[in-house]
Amino acid sequence: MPEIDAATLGAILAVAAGTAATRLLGPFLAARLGRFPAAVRFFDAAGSAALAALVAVAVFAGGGRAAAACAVAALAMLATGRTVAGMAAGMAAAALWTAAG
Amino acid sequence: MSRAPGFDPAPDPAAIPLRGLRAGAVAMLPVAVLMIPYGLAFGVFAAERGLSPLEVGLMSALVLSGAAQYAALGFDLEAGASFALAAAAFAVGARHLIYGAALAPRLGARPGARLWVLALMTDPNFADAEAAFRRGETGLGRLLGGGLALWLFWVAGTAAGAAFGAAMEGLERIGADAAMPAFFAAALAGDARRRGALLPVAAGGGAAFLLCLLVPPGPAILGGAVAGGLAGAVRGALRA
Repeated sequence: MPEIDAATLGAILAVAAGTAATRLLGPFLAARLGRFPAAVRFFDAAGSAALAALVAVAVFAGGGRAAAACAVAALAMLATGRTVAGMAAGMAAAALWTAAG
Repeated sequence: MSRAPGFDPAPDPAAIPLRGLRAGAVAMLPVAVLMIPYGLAFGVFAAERGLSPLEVGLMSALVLSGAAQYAALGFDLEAGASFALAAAAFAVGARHLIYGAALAPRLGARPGARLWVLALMTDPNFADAEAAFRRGETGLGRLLGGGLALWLFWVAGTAAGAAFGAAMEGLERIGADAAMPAFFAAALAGDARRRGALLPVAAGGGAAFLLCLLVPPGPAILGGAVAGGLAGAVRGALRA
């Protein structure tokens, strides 16, 4: 089996292109999109919605354990103001869930 | 490009100061270290989905986004490139557009420097450089240095997770597999405090959850992002 499968490589390049476009187009949009407030609102809202969608999909797949980890992570972030602290608290919650279950 | 000896050029405002490069890398080092479990978790998950360690390392090197890469694993990667895959990565990275727009006045005119700074821009180093800008420092070198540190740890951590994850007993016992969802939830909590973010968050999360009943996770994430984006745009249009 080859280490890099051709189709998978194509998929990786597609993900890389989609992500690179978001990084490189920002300054261009700042100059051109000022006249299209609806587009700016769409991208701004889509960014927040994508994070929510990532959490929703993880909770759908992971059930109660993932839901507990996400809830604790969100609360810990709100309490400390640090995303990484939230992540660590969420991991601890998942570990406790496994230990208790 | 070499300069004649003894010639002292005027400082170039778009040049990237090396001092800032080191400061950025030092500032991001603790974050990069704390993200190791997150990288390992992604590597293990990707290996479970059939990716080789080389493929995982290559993906991390080229994409540098846990969220986009996690969303990509919701698609059938062996089916190859697809518009939906690129669109999902674009939707998940949409916040970069906002960061890039905010950075635009500070990026200077050098296309090369601009490209590298933007290519290595992620959430933590953008936040760090933005704070440096507000303190009056020039943040471009800081942004690039921080990005390099995060990139190195991300590529190494995810590839290690893919290579040795199966052999690492008890990752679940320390909650490492929950690192990615927990990070997204924490980032979401910070984001949802912004004015007007609640509607797109509710629409995006709700739509993605319902879509999970019908389609694979990747398209569900794309659908949620688009639904939330539309909700935000429509509300704005109704208020205007």
